[in-house]
Amino acid sequence: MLEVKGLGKDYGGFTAVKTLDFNLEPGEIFGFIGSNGAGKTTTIKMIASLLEPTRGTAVLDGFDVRTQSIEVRRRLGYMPDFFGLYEDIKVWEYLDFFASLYSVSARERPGVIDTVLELTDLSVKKDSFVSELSRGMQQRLCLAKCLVHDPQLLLLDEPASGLDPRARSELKGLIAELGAMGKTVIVSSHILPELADFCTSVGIIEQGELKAMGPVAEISQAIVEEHVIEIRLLESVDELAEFLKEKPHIKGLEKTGPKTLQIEFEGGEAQQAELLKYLIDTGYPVIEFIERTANLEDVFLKVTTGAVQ
Amino acid sequence: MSMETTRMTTSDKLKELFAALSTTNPMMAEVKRVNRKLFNVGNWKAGMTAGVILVGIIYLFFLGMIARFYDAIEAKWMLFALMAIMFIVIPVNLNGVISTEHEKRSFEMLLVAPLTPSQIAAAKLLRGAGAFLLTVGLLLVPAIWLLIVQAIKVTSMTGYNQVHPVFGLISGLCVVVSASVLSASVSVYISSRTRTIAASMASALGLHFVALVLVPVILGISGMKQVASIVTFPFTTLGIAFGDVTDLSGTVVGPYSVWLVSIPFWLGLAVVFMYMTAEQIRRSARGETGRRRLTKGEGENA
Repeated sequence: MLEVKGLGKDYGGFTAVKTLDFNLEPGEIFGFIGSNGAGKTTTIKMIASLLEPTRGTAVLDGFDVRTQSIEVRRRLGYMPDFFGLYEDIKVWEYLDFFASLYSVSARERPGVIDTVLELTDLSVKKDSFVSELSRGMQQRLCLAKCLVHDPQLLLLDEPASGLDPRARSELKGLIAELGAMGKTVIVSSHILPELADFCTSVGIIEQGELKAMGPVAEISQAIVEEHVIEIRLLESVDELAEFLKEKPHIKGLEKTGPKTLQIEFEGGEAQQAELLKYLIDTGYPVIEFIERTANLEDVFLKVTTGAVQ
Repeated sequence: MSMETTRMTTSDKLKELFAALSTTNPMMAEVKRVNRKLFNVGNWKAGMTAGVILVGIIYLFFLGMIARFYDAIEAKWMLFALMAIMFIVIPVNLNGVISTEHEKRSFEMLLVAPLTPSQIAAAKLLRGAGAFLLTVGLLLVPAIWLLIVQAIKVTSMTGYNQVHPVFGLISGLCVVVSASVLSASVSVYISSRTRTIAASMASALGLHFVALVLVPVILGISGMKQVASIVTFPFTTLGIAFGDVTDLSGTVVGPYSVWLVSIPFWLGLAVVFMYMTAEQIRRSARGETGRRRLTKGEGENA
């Protein structure tokens, strides 16, 4: 559906994006992660045909962003990181205007507007002026605007920035719903835990280079060598700590509480099962034995160096 | 709109520009949007109210002057006044059409829509047409009345015995309208080049003032009256309707028939400025305008 082929951007001697290659399928929600200046917005703008690539291209549904940008634009919805709305008109008038730009017929427009307002939970604000909406509602209105022409690809650049926790949660649910509707969504964000919740895959970009890409679980498995296991006993873990020091596959351990212990374990799942069995057989009153999987933040920190261009 | 059109020829771009003036241009929704903005009940802003009051005062002043001096006003000075007012009203109305979008960061939303730069430029020009026509209409009512009264030689009504052909009236108005179209396209072009409403307003009014007042005055003082008369061409051509073309000092600078050239000349220049506006939008769509566009965060690194 979306093929990014060797896409890159230079500004004079400065390379903002080196060479990106990836493909996305319908229904995929792709989280684009990177530090400030890593090249996320530049990449999104190139895909949105708002920035001419220096090399490579992106093809959306068979249309090349470099040579068929009008066709590409008919198929995508773009929400910039910072945007302004026309505040002097009503919510439905705002959507009606953009629906007209996308050549949605006058007969269809009222139905389309009602549908996107319902989807973005703004139906009650249909006759309000845009200037009367809260920041979160304006964000949702912008998203509604991106949906009036039923695009196949949504490009959301930092959609959650400046939103309160409730608005973020609502937006997250909305994006997940769009993915379930079969739309491909590219969403960039700094709020890593939230991305992990609903992204089917992520791409980590640093210094204009894609460092890792794929489902969060797969990336973390491939990247994070040791596993962290948390053990909770019914009694003090002091004796257990001494006992485990000499055992194989244990790289390190730390007491996180009087009855809890965290160990860095180098073995696989079979060795974990073996260790648990051994503890129980030895008579330790184990209440919990949980592998703490690396979260997106751990993966991000592991993959990136923090270097800037 | 952007990348493929870089390979278009100038001729193709001009065709695209003229095609964009048709009602099939989806961006014509802009006209409806602006009308909604202006006429939404309960949405009156201080600026809009002040604008309406200002237009009202100018209009009343205009009416008062005509009522007081209707038997002494020469028709060409009537048109001169009309044009002078248009050269204020047009830049004030149109200076913000694109610069407002830049300032409020809403322009990207338009650039990412499936529109050509010409479609955006044409709609931005025509969105001012409502206010423009309303202003012209209000001002023309007494002007036309006066001109007709004078043209049909109703000596008994006016006590004024000057005769002007209706042809002169029409051609004079055509000069005003064509010069106003040029003024509008210059204002839209300036708006596309500026990032803030204030800069756009200052530049548009400043350019009109410099081109039509300051430069001719300086040239006149410097003893180059002939050059000055060329610079003030929009004004001086008003004389065509009523005889020889004269500059502001009364010197004859051209023949009666010069109007035939003048109107297409202004309209041609207007097309040139619209073309330049479309090119500016094309560059914006490719992220080439202004300083190197730093994407979010790059500035922090720098």
